[in-house]
Amino acid sequence: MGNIAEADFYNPKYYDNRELSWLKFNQRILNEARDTKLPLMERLSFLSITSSNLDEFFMVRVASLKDMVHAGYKKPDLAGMTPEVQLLKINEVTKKFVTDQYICLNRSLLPLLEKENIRIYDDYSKLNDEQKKFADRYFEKNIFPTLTPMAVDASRPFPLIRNKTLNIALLIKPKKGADILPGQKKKKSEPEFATVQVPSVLDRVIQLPSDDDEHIFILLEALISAHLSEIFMNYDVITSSSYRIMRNADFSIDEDDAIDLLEEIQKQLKKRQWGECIRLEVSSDIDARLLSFLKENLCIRDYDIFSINGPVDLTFLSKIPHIENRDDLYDKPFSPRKNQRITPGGDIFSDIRKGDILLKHPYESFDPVVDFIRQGAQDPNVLAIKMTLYRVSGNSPIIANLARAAENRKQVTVLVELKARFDEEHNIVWAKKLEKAGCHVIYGVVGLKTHCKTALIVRREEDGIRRYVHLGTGNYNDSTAKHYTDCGMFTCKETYGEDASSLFNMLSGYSEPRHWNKLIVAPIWMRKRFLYLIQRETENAREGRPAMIVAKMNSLCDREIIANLYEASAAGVVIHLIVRGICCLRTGIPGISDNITVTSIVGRFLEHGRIFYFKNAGAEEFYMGSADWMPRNLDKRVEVVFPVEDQILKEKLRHYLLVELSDNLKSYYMDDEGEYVRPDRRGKKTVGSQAVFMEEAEEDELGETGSKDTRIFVPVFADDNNEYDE
Amino acid sequence: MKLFSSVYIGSYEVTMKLYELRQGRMPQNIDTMRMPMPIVYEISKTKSVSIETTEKLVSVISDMKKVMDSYSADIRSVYAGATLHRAENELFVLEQIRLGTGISVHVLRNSEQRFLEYISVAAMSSFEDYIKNRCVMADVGGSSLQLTLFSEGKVSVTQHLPLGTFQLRDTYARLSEMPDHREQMSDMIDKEFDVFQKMYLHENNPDTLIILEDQLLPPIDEMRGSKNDLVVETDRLKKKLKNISINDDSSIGEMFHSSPELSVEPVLLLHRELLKLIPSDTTVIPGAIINDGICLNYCYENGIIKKHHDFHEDIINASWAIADRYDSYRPHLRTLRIISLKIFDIMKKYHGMGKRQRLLMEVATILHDCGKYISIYESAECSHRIILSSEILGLTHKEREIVAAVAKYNRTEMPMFRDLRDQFSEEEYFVIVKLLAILKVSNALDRSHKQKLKNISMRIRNNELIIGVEANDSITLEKGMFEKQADFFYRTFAIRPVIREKNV
Repeated sequence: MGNIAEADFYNPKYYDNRELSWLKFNQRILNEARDTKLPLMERLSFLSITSSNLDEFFMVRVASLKDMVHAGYKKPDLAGMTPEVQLLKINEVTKKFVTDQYICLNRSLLPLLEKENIRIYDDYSKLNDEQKKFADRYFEKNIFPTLTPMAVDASRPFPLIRNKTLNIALLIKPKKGADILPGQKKKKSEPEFATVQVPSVLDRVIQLPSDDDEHIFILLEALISAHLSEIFMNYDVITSSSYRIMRNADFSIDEDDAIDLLEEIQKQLKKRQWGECIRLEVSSDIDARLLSFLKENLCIRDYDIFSINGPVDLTFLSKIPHIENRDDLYDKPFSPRKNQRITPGGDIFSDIRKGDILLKHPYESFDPVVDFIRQGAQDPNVLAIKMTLYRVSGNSPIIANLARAAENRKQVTVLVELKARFDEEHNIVWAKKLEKAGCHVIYGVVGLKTHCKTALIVRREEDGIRRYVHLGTGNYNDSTAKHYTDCGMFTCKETYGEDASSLFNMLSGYSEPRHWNKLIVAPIWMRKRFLYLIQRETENAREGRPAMIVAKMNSLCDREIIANLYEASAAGVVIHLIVRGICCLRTGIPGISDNITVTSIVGRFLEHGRIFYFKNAGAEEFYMGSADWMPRNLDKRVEVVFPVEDQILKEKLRHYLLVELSDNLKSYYMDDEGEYVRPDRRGKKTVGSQAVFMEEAEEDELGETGSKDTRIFVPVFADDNNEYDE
Repeated sequence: MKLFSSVYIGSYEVTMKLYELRQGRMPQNIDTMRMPMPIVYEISKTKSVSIETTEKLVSVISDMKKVMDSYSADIRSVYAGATLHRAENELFVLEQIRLGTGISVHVLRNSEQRFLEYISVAAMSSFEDYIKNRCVMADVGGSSLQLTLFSEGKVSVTQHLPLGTFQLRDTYARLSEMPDHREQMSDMIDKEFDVFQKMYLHENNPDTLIILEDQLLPPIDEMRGSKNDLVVETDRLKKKLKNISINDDSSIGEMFHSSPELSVEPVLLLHRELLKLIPSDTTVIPGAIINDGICLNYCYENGIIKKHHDFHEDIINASWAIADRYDSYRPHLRTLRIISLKIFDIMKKYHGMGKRQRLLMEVATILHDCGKYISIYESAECSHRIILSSEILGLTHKEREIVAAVAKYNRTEMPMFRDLRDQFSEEEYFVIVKLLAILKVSNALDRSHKQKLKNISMRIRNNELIIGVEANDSITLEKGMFEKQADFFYRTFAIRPVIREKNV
């Protein structure tokens, strides 16, 4: 162990760059697409996810870095890399990544699909006559009316190509003796550039007629490409190729980046008409003239051009219609189970009064949360409902119930976070709906994103006012609750209720309370509190008392938190981190992080919960909440982390963390080089945590394990002999 | 169970608190909303509340009203602090609030405000322990600093010093250009405390200093942490406040750098001097706010809970302290008090006054001739002045005016209502007349101040109040004076007092 006093826990060499760490995460998802043990269609879905993830990464992170470079910002990140260096490295890694994506598609997935008699054509010529006939008709009827071909010449400037849309670029030449486009002068037959957007309103994957055991699909852009001569009737099409651009369309700086930059960047943005093109994806077989035309007009450097060996934009893979009667190609369906503490069809308030309730989604159903609001809306004793909404589903039953509550003359306060990335427009529509119904809608807090997930119901009961609170780690979205692993807790303890009231008062623009009973609220109090909790473990370890931290989250990239974890590790605190995505902390650095393990679980459900455990010299504390250990969560958002104090619930969380730490099927651990590798399963029982939780939820529902409330798990991860404590 | 909501428009913020009330139990706070709104700055700068601030007030109060509605609050009280009285457009502001929210705001007088604050503090579980020996309570208000000295569990004196945060900020702003402005401010504060120290403490320092503030200093707030009340060794607090400097780069430091009207520095200076010049072992900074006092007062008045402290005894004690300071003759006052209360009680059916007026009767008997200390000839006028200028914690300003009027018209002619209507309501006028009638009769019974009458008995028969007395001495003087006062009494109650001398 190194000398703690001398150790510089902030040394950049101990940190990983967050963008590169994120790319590693996307790589782990790509690994799922390569996993031959997974059903084929699930693999396609994972590949699709890597593609949509990468799109978002470019639009937000790369765009932000580009802004920094334009603004001449040279401040290095926590790993000591300047924005310019980061961009170079990202470019290098993503280029390789994209190559891997298409190797996976072309060499592995498409041949396997073929074996299963499933064909996805991106070439019209491969269709048989019958299919061609169908496709032609489909084109005429459905596609042709939606197309807007655009030619470019001296009188027609290069059109605005919209961000993220798929397009077909082509070179055309007027047919001999044919009429030219109106208003155009006849000149020497030099090829002209034209472009046509592949309509995003239409399905990208079109199913064609086939034999019973066959499933044939064609991509929309292939169909359009085959009919280009019908679109540009008086022209000969010399060559065509699909392409897609990614723009720096986000006119505000990403909340994760340095705020001192904001002003400078805003000045830069004003100079720009529209978002700068930051990535161009083109088919690898694109005609050189076409590419050079695109390059020139989009003002993009070679460096930002991605040559794609296959269909551009792999998100179509998740749009392939469900293959009937082929359940073997999909994960075994799982429907969330009932929580044993909640009486089906009963009074949820009375269930909560019996004691705190822990919900583990998606293993357990999200219905109780919807029901909580639904019953609140109808219950004559309910006076008020208050709730934060970040991302809700399209046809959310929660929204409908909140509106109903307002119509039933309850006081309904809803904090709608409009700044939820890419969801703005969608959010405004239903927020207006709520307002119309009489809800008091608060559109966020100036300067802060409201990310906490809290619902409060105030009820006037015989023995006084009682507050029922739901606190969660995930959004109030009944649809994502089926795919994201999140936890939630119902309670009617006065201390939590009082805090929840204070939280909503604060979000309504009133002063913060003089003190919080239970909730740890960001941005003002949370960082301090987490640092305190970590330092308390450090202190305990130094004094020879038992010290351990287990923290599960989506991302870990806060420099101060990481430095404190390093210090804790150096002092002897055993630290297990379960971090799904970005992790800037490095393990295995002698004297710095040799007591830290980092695991990452990537499975059929998206790991999303945030759970924190502190040994506290034996008086263990468990917390859950909405915040990751990222600067944006701790400093720029309203987040809530709350203690779980009920002994039964604590044991459930202990079990949850323990199973996740024992996962050797879907988990990776970070090695000393900062790379993620699969654990060695030789001689060990295979544990897939998500599968375990699904099974347990099923057993619980069937009552096979008896009452879970009385089940007490042995606190294994406090044991030094744990397999991760190497 | 009932829900009580109280909205209070203070100098710095508007606060709403909601309580659950249950018979025999302390009110339970369920919800609190606080909106920073420092009307005090505006009023001190422009002597009025701007239209923008008024609109904001209307919007906040209407918001709070919605919350009260959402809880179906049974009892709603909306008060404003005395600061609002300083605004020239006070009535317009109140009218705007009424029109915009349908709520009439009651603006507290300074003494009412202080008393409600005191009620909230007196409900602290250790309050009786704090005042058991010697304790000073410093109520830092906008317009003045009120110091109350407790001795052996009772109020012994209450004094106002011209050290309100208003004045301090104003002075600070005026002096801020001078290089030694901090020293000058400290000197000014020292001088005021020095008078109090010399007159009332006599180097006999309190064990406990209770500080009530309407704007909490951030370092104190920090020390309080999650606890509601801060109980701290005075030396520790002194050290903490000493270590704060304008070079502090924390949020506290920032507060120093704001404009003189907003700077916390004068308030910090005041605290430093207060801790230095009224030395104590322990300092208590209660977390209770006036809304709590408003709610508790409601509970006391409606018999929901028993009082935590004998406020009645405080008032009597403070009155005696004033009487003593002006060398009033205690034996006479004691006799007078006994006789007056006897008459008050037996006449209850005829005068219709309640407990509160009985308390005023007591105070009036104790203080009615304190002015003699200054001028025997003009004692009535002087008593009136003294009473008006002496704070009695627990009495409202109006109540003090009533007592002062009783003292004044004890010796001078009681004017007609039409001559006093700009000062008193009809109801208040009657209270003065009735108390005066009783005082005059009882005073006549000890005209010689020699407590000649013993075993006084009273009964009412055939429209006569028959006062039976035993006398060791000649009571000719008493009898002679009695007739005149009996006439006044008769005119007031239609009952004629008659002396029946018993043979001893």
